[in-house]
Amino acid sequence: MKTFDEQIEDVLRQKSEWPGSADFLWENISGQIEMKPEKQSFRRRSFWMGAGAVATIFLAFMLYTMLNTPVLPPVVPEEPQLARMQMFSAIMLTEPEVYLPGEQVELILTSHPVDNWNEGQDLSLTIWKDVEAEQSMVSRSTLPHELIRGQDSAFVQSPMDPGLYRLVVEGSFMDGDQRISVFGEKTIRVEGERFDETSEKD
Amino acid sequence: MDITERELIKQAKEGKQDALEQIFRNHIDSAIRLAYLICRNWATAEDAVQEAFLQAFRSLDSFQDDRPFKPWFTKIVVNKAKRTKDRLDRGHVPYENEEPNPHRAYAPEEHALEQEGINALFQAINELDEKHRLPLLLKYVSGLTEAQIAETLSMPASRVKSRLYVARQRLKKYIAILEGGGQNEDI
Repeated sequence: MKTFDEQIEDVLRQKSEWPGSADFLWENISGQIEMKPEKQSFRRRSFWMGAGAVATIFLAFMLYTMLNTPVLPPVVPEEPQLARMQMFSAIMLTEPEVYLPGEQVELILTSHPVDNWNEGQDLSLTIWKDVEAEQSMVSRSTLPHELIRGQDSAFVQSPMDPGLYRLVVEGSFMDGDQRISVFGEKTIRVEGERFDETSEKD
Repeated sequence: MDITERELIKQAKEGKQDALEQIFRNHIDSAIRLAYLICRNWATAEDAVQEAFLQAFRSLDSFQDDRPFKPWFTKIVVNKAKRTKDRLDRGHVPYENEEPNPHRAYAPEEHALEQEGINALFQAINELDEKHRLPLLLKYVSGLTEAQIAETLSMPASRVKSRLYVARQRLKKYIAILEGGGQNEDI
């Protein structure tokens, strides 16, 4: 007599016999994988070397300026300016990941329970485009809670137009009696031809 | 992760096509079964798995060599399959449940009663809500351990253990009701 575990395993195996072909599926997949040329890693390495050099020069300049500037009362920049500076430095010092138009982008999420929630309650995806260091909002859409609940990441689609973007997922949802606040963001560069989203053929 | 798979991942990161194909062949069976049991449609399951492999291969650089590949990849499969299932639920693509598989050989030794039991158990599994059904599929189709299921579903192992227990209890209860009897602990 089979154990209950074995029965479940057998039933699921029997009810999921694939009528398709692994060879055919592999042909489709291998045709869409871009093989990495060696120079790509060199290009990445040289990018980081360049970024490191720029950062070092920048820090040296800051240090020099600090040491040679008389002490003045601190000037606190206005909030929009501060936000723009943070955004600018983030873009300058980190390498944005490159995606094809329409490709799936994974955003790592941080979440924590909240007691008093005063902000908007819907989960939303906001896409900002960077044009000459100025941010403009391209779109804002509501995300279904089910896409995020129980996950530590969310998959969203990259914009169709080439450019530098910041994708932000934020909001909250109810998990039982507890409200959970979620946040995730990623700066990406979109370039190349449209991503072949095979599932759209359905 | 055994040394062979670790070596395969290393070669795949270097862009070796043979290594990518071997990884694909090692994982296609459980991935396609899992995707089908989530979206219940072969065409969309194939699409989901294809997307999952493409995403996994394109993200290999971010994969940490010292971690097991299967839970990481299974998480991608689950996400892709759930998204396609959402499309099914919105009515764009029909479910193709209960269709006999034309590739499956006819087995005259299968008694009608046995087949009835198989169908009943499968129906019971499909009646489970997703939060109990998914850990069950990951255990029995993907062969993941409770710790790996916890990692895949981003939840504590204790919750996985509890959900598996509840799922099994509900299956037993459902089967007992279908059989018209009391609690049958054998099935």
